[in-house]
Amino acid sequence: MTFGRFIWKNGTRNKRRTILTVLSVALTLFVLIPLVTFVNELDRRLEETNSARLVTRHAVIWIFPIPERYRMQIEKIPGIVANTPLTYYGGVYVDRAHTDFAQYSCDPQTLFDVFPELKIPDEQRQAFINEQTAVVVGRSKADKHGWKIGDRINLKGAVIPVDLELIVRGIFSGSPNEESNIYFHHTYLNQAVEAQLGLPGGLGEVSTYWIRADSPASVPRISQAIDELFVNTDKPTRTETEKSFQMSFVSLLGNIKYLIATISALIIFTILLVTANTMAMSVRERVREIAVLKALGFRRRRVLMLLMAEGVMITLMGGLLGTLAAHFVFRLIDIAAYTQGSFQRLDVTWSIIALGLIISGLVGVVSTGVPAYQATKLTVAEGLRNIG
Amino acid sequence: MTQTLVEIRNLVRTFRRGSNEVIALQETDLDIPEGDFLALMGPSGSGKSTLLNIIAGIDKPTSGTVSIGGIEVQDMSEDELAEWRNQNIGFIFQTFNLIPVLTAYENVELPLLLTDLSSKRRREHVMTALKLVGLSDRVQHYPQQLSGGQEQRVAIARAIVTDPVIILGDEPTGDLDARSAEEVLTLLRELNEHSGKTIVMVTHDPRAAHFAKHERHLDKGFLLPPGVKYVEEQFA
Repeated sequence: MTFGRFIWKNGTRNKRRTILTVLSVALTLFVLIPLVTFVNELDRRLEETNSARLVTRHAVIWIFPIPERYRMQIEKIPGIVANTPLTYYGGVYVDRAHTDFAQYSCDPQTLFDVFPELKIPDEQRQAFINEQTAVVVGRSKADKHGWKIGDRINLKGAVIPVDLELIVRGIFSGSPNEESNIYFHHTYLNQAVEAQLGLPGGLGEVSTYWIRADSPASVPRISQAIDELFVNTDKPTRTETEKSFQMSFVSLLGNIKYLIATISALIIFTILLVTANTMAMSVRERVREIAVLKALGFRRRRVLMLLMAEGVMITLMGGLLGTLAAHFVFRLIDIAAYTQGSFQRLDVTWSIIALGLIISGLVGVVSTGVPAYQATKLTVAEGLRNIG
Repeated sequence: MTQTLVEIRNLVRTFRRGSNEVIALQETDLDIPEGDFLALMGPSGSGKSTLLNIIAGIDKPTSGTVSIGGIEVQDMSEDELAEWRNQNIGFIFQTFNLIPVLTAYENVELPLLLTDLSSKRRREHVMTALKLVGLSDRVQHYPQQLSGGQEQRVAIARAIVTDPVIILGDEPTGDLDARSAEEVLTLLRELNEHSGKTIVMVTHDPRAAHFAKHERHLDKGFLLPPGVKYVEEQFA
């Protein structure tokens, strides 16, 4: 027999209680992990941003459009390498469930200069530029929807009430979030608006301008220069780094991280109470056995460690079950479809699994620590008098 | 010439119960020679278990000295005592106190986990001990699959597996029927006579005491002189 076997046998002596404790820890971790993953996903988006890229939007909020004519003035500012308007179209592909990607109108000439991390074959890029109804799609979406070069994508207008008939002319690669977008000509959107809504010249406005600076050092100067151009207009702008722009989306959700941290802490505290009660019960029943171990020569610290190892073993089993279940369940669920493209994935990464195991291990240490400490504090004679 | 294994001098043990101080043992002197089989007898509350616990190092005297094999144990720390107990003491409890989730083999092996012995050597020790108590065919049985007498024999195997200098029994037959009690006592006597083990056994059963070489009686915390028996108080 080894100490490991001794711990296992003691930890599983009351099978029903052990299974229930394992399941409660597992369920807790299964609920906790998505929250952590959500925060992780938000952080990851910010990490993916380019420090030399800026976004110009309406000074009040990004959902207010800004005029198309701003572009020429913006591009006169030194240090700007490329600039493209991006207008959120927000159409529906087949139905809501299939619309798991975002659609933007852009300037096809400069799109890939502003986003150099998007990789596309040269001939496809040229085909995209040459044809007004062309669309480029992310690799993951092309794979998922079975789109090939030459396929048609029909979008029904929702945010902008015009329908678009697009032809796939390019498939680009990038990060999972980037591959969740499709891009088409802004001029085509304007033509559709003019034809279908009767507005001469089309929208005349864009949602945002995305600008790539020659270096991160130029970003503050360019940002200030752009905003100064339009400060006294009826549509003033706010130009910020891509990271800051992405953070404004997160801030729309309120202090989401604080909220999630609070909920997570409450969940952990609840399972701590449940586990502590179970472990206290388990230790209390064995005060006499603990005294026997000490009588046989086991030092108090060793008995304490054996008891705590039992607790940690049980909570770790629960933690492992819960985190792995979350890991595999979130792989099976199409998060993009559920969130209509807002989130392409909720990856329960190995580091999140490790975090889950650390949390469950700590729950085991804390919940077992107190009752085990009290039980081992008794003298052998006191323990032997105990009727368990 | 027989050497003294246990030497107790001026031993006093008091307990505090609320605001009162209760004297469990007073001014006790006792010598136990090596190879002896001593029965400590007395009524409930006479201090016999307290004396046994102090010899075992699981309780500490209020004053006085306890020397076992030439080592004074009264001032040892809790950790030192634990290690010392593992190497020198074999303890047999009235209620057997086997770990219910461990097999007979594993229960006997338990004290050996604290030693440096390899698993092979541990196995040899465990099998020898179980053979000695006549349970080599019950190694994989759990305590609940054994009779009371068999459980106590496993407990005896656990007590002797480390080859301790002294075996201490606290009412080892108290929970057994007459036949099992006799088996256990016979076993203890054999361990004393054939293996030369020093045994101190607490009992209030005169029939059990007859298996010992000597008897010493305690009454109200006093260790009575050799040959003097306590007088059992009768209800009027």
